[in-house]
Amino acid sequence: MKTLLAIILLFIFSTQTILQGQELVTGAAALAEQNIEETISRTDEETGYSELTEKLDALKHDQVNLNAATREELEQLAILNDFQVFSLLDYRKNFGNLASLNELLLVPGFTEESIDLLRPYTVTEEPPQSLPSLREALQQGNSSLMTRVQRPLQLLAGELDSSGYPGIPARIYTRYAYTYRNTIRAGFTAEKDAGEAFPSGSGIRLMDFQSAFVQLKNLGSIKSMVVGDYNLRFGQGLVLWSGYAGGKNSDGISIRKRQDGISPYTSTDENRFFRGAASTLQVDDTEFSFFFSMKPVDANIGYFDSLLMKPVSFSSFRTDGLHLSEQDMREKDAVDEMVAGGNISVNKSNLRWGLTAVHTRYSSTLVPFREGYSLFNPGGNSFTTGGIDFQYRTGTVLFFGEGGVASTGGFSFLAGALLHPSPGFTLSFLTRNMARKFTALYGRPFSESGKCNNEQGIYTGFQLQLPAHLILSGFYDLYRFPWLRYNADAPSGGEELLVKLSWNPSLSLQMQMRYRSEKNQVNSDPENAGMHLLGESLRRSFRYAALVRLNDAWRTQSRVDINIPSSGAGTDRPGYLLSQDLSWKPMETKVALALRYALFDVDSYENRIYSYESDLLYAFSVPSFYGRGTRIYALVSCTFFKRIDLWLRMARTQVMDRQTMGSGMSMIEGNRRTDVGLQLRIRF
Amino acid sequence: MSWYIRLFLAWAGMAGAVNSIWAQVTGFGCGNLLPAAYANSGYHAGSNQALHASEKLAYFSASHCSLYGIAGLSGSTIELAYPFQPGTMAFSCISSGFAHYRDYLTGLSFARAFGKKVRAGVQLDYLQSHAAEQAEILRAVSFEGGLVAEPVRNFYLAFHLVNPLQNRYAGSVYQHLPSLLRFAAGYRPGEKVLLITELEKDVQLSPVIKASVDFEPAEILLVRYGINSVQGHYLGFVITRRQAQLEAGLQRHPTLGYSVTGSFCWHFKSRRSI
Repeated sequence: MKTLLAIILLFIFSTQTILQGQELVTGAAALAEQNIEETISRTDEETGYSELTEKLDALKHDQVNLNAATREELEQLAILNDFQVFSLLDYRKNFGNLASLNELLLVPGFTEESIDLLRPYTVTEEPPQSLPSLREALQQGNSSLMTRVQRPLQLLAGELDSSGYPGIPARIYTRYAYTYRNTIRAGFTAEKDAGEAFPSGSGIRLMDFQSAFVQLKNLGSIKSMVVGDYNLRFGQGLVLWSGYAGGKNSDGISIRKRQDGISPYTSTDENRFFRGAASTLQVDDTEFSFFFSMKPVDANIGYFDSLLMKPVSFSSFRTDGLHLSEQDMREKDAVDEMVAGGNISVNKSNLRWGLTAVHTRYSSTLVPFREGYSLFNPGGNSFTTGGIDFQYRTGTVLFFGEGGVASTGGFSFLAGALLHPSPGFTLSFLTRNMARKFTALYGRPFSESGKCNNEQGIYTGFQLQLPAHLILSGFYDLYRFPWLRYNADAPSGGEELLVKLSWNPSLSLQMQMRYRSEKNQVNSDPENAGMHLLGESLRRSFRYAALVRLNDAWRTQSRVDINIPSSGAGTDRPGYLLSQDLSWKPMETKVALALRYALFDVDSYENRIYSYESDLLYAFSVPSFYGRGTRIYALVSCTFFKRIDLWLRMARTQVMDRQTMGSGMSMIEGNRRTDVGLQLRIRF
Repeated sequence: MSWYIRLFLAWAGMAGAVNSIWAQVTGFGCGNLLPAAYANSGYHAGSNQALHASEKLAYFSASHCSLYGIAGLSGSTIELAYPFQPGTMAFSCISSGFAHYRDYLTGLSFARAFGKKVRAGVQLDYLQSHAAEQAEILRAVSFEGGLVAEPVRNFYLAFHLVNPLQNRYAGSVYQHLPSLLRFAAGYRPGEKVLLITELEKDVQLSPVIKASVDFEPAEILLVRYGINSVQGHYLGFVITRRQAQLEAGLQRHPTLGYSVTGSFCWHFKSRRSI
């Protein structure tokens, strides 16, 4: 009976599948875009995001088998919410395998929209998972070689100054990637920032940053093994989480991190990753992960021993990855870092728990500047952190959390719950208490500050499906910093509220309105020296967005962003960003076009507005806008001979209230900046 | 029915919509015409060129506005539009200002419908500005364009983009040519009622929010009321008789007082439903 019903559903939806194929990719990609923009607007960090789109891109080639996928593999799809994952697992357990994707309509919690999102990335048949012969791997594997060049058309200050850029002002990025089904993956990445020397001139390096890896997956008891550069993500990120970490999200309920253990590193952050070897072995319900990493990192040197020709101490880590001046080159790879540790994860039917331990040692001693706010910043050359994490599901409630201790002292934990009291209604709660002394150098837990210490808070969020295709979501987060922070000379606190209303009446129209308010305590008079009293900084923002699908090829998106500061952020005058997108991507041709016109009017840098832009594949552009002016960009992509992809992007910003753009060596004389980017990919 | 479609299309483009007395003129598909708020000074864009795409008949229109009871302060428009197979071409002239200062805009536009629910249009603008104390006439070339869509039945969305490259008058660094972006949304809850709202932002000015309601109490009469965050209130009456349309309106600015507008439009053949 179930099979018959599945066949009927398959027949009914087979036509829709063809018609909706184009929109589906857009849907999943749009989720990633939204997450990236929200993360950048909070943290200003601009690397590591390519993982999201790379993961989606890789899944299109190596689709997940919904009938065989484990809970972790389903979670890594990043499209399903927690209750959909458990609902699918329950359904499989009770009724057996899915006959087709459309049978998901019978699974509680799944809708046509969620099935459409899954369709490009999932299958219901089992692909072979055995180790191939070398000949087979070479013949059947997919390779791609990609090169990208980006630079502004105007001359930069670093070009005009004889003591400026040591190299050409273009940013160059090259990568090679190889995949064989879901079993073997290998890659090489090289990148130089604008102005860096090319060739780099040090050793065998062609560019300033180079990275490579080989990964084997799903081979008997070896779940994953990486040699080269990799990321580690365990538990809730309190102890160990490198790469993209996400954070608060406008959907209100995406607060639980989804551990994916060891994964290859393909990004261009030059410091926050691991280099060495790592492996996860699976024995029944238990996974054992081990890792060892040894690599140099950039650091601000404190005391340099001229006899030993090496730094004795350093004050902080450098994370910008820019190596332009003589000092930059001295501080590049200044300190050797060794990281070793492991994780044990036990998966029972409704319970998963894990232990993580990591030890980090540096060749020099970290001696941070001791000011009031940095009194508890970690010091020394050896750090050890350990933690235990759990996840337990009972009925429609999912509990999760992680606690950790560090050799620097302090105990930290976070714990949360997701409740699904009725279809279409989900609640989320999270509490955190992170000690000021606690140190996890690669920790990235859920937090307001983006750090893993000196924070307490309570978060609650919700998502509610209303009639008439309306979805209401949001969160309220109340937090406190028990010790001083930069720009806060006393214990401080704050709160954040976000409410979003989405209306998706048809495939042709998606609209949303979002209100966000954030209140923080900061120094009331930061320009004056000495201790300061705390004042309140309140920032409210409103967003409206409407996406219209005009036909199978054309779509437009209108968006309005309004930021309203009340104090401590320049003037109280609201800032505006209006943008209009027009994109053309017909299904039957190999050419696509994306255009945007944006107009901004923002008084101060503190009140800047971020906006995600379409960019070259695996490149990310989320510029912040302030001042008065306009922004235009065009992105063209086309495919030749089925295997060659070409992207060309041109973006132009013109301001009315400044006569220079940028700062330092990247400054441009004049009020216009035009950036061009060219990218070529060959698939073979 | 066709009336409302035309009205909406015009309003969705909203040549300054309620803030513009001239929006009433453009409200009859005679869009592309004028300038709008004199309070902003200088050139102000016309309506959304996408509106022309719904025209099936050639027409001529003219309008005049006397502003705030100030002698000589006025604006005038004329427009000629001709629909043919690929789309609609329109030629328009606009003059606005007073005795010692006058702006002129000459526009040539093309608009086309893409299916039943999408319309788009572009216009090439030639602008001139003449002040009594200036020996030279300032000149500039720019362009504008827009799109109107009906993604859901009786619900409309539109955008209109003006001078996106921030072109300026040649030889003048002070004269402001606005770069505008307008978003509009419209909803028709019943056959005789149309609700519209619009956000307009000039890169150098504060945003303007507008809203209006159109009501058709009789077949030949339409009443329009609008409110604007800058320009105040508007009340207009539209009378339609065969090929002719006539609109008279009154606008009240909170500080400057009343303005009077009148417009006339003539279609060259008997009207057919769109």
